[in-house]
Amino acid sequence: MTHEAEVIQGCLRNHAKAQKKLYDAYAPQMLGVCYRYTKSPEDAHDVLQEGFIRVFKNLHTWRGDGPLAAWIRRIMVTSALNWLRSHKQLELNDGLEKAEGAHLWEGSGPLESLQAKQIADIIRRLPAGFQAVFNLYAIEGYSHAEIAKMLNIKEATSRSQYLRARITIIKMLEDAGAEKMTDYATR
Amino acid sequence: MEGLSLEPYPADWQAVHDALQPRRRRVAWLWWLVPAMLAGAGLWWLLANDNGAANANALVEENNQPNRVEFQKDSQSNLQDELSETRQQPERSNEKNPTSVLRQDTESWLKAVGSTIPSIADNREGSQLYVQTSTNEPGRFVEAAKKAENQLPTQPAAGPEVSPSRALVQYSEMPVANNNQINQASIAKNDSTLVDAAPVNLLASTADDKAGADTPSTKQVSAAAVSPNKPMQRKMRVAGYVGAGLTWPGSGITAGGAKSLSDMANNIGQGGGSAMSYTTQQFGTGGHAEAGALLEWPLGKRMRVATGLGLNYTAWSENLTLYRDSILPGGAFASRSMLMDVTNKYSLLLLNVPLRVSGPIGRKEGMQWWWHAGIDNRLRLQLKQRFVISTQQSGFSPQQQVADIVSSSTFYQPQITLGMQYRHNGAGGPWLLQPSLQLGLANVFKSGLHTDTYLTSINLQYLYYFRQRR
Repeated sequence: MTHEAEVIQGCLRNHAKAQKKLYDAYAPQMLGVCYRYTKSPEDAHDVLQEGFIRVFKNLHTWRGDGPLAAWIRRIMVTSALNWLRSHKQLELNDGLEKAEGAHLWEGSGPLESLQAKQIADIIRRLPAGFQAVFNLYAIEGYSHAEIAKMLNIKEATSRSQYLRARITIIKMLEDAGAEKMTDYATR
Repeated sequence: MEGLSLEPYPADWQAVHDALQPRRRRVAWLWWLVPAMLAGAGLWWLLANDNGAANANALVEENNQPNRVEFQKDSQSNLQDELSETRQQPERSNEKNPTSVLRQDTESWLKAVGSTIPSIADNREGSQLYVQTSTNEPGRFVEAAKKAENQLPTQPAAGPEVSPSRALVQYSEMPVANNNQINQASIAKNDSTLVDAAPVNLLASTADDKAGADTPSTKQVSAAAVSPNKPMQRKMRVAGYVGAGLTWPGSGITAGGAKSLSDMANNIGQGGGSAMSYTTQQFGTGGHAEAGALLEWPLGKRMRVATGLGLNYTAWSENLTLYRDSILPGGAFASRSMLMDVTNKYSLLLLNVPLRVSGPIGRKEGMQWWWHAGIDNRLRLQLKQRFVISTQQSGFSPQQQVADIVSSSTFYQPQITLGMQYRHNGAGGPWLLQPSLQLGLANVFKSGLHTDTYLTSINLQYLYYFRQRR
């Protein structure tokens, strides 16, 4: 039996030490996930707590057919979405709007050159609806059909929100670049 | 981008860990303590204040006899069986005996409504507790319990912020009737606002026997509590508290200074060119300390109600001096001589069941100011008195008399409390500093040297609210 399997067995028997080990192993990574879905650090910690409570209460449903980290991550994402819903921060326009300027950023773009923390901070500056869809599509890898089902919106709305999120991010990056140039010129 | 890792707070794990712990039954156990204590307090009150205390004591002893009916049986058949067994006892076989008639009535009543007894609990999705003391007549207890049922609110209050639980205390006095008339006048004190809103609803009723002065009386004290299965533990907060303060005897705040209790002008010698008057002066100060636990529930959006249990120790000393003043004709003061000097030392041991309501006044960042008001339901468990009396009458040599009196009789001494709280919910946890000014109106002495002595006290309490489960 592997070390992780032993820890999981301990968690299933409600042993606090095993639960702490599992928590210590995954909490930092999962806090990063929560961080991207929320607007403030306190909110991210709230989501983390709720997510791990659900993890331990539902661990018996994990069938072991995939990495445990992926399963925990899905629970964290679901917890984050629930948290956003309960705090009325997940308001999405349910209409298809033309996303002008979407062509400015296709495929690999300027985000690739940034650190994970910087990217997360940029994503957190998006409006809540954009933020959730962008996270789910670009980071978590869900399809627009899956996102539509998760958020109870139309698939077209998910696409629209994603495109608008990309435009907003590009604009943020351009503004940041202009500020840097201005700073450089005035030295 | 998926590699973003951040360090969680230590409090994150603590919150997760706390939420995973099994629900503690300890809190539920504490809840039942309240009606049990109130029932006991009622019994004490009976024994301490009623002339028939000896009779009541005898009944308490008889209470252990096996002919008692327990009302918490699982089925009606158990109740019926016990009643049948009781009826078969030789001393109760006389069908002409009015108590047998009462028992028959009760049995009929049980047949009529017995099936609804468990369903009452079911309808409220809760449980009921009956605490019974001092009865040797099954029929009477059933009667009392039936009245308790009738007085319980029929529906739990609705809404998220109102009453999660109810409690009822009833005291009734019934005759060992020589006829089958149970002429019972019940006086139910029921504050409807409290019933609808408070998490602890207390109904107290007394019943008087009007059948005749020569009819011996029995006494019953019962308490019932209904606790619907609402998640009240999630709303309830548990706090431990310690407090200490200053105590002054006398009526009114004298800050330990001299107070003339009676500036008497008893002119006892109209002739002879002089008159006499007597002046009594009282000095006194002391202190008190109390420790206990409080349970607190939300009451609406801007109030909270709390109750609990505490043990209080109060000690003070006082000095009373009796002077004889010589007054000249026309009222001019001539001279003063001391007649008697009394030094009294007292210590009180009190059991306190506080009932307190509080609400916020204002807040700024992490600081909050709250008002609170309530009543401390205090039972005097023990009183120790030590008198040192010195007499110095002219013409006699000084004499001294020392007397120690220890009284363990119980006595209800409520105290009204008013005050302010300062709450600070900072990162260090839900600590709460509660300075409170308590104005006591406690009739300390039932009889003796002083017929009425009141205590005024200032109390500083420090409460710690235990961390709540998410």
